[in-house]
Amino acid sequence: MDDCLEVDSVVKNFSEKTILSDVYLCCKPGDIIGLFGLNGTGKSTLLKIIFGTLKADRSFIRINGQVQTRPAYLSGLVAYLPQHNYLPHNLTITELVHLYLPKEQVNNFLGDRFLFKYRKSKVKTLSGGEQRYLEIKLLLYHTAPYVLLDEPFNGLYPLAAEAIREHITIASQTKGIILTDHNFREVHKAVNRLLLLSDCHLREVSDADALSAYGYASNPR
Amino acid sequence: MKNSIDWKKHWVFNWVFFKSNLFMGLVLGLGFGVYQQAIGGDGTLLGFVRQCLLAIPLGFLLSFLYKEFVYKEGYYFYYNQGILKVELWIVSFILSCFFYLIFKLIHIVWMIVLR
Repeated sequence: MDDCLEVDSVVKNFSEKTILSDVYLCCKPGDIIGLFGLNGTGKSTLLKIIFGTLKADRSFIRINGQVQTRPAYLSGLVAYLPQHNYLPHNLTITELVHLYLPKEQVNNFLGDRFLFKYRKSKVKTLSGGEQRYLEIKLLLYHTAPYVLLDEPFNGLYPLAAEAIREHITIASQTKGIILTDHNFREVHKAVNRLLLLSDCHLREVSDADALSAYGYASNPR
Repeated sequence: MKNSIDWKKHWVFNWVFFKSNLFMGLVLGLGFGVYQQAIGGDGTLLGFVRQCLLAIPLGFLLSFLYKEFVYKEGYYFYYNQGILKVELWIVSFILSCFFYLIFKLIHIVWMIVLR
């Protein structure tokens, strides 16, 4: 049985409007999928349905051969980065890392050049971008084999974004990663598959130039 | 797939969540106690403590409402560990009842000693 995150027949309506119609997606360890689409096309909705915090009108989710009858996050097989900061403000970075990671990984994690000087600081003293970097890295080190990142590059300055792309590449050796972002120039350097959500349907796109044909961008590069 | 629940991890994260609600509960409890004494309380320390204890559940409720309407993303810290929101609130409620009973017991013993 192949290890993969398989999402099939996803339908989601908000009031009278259909957002997602028979969406199919398959993500395997090693995949770094860039999920693109105009505002309001349902990218975050799809990620939340996969994670299990939003209920679809119809969906079928199977992870590593196991059909998910409960919210997928309860299985511990999928992790999700929401669009806005989510870490508890009253904990220090060291306390957070000890909560999230096995003891043997803590020193390596905190030795990061962006985090080391803040390791004893509380989360509330960090800027939005610094929190974002920490949040993404925590999830990429998470034990879940599939990671969903919703607009990860928001608020990151270029060096931090480059570091995150490196972490994504390293994590993808054992994980499947799906990320959405409007910062196409950052995302397309990191991904190896492109999916476009358009007119309620999800379609695989061969390269960045093909996005223009679907009206996503005039010159993606 | 994880078939067994890591109870130690669940307990640790539930404790973190409970502590995140403590501040609002305690602040509101103390504030309510001060207010009640100011508008016509008996002026005693025991009376002040009694009023504080009454307000702590209200502080807890306000903390819940704050998380529900203002800081919903905060739950993802726990979802990513496979912990349900309803579990967080049930355990927090039980812990707050436990501590309320402890403080109430101290309050009763204090009253008995003073008589």
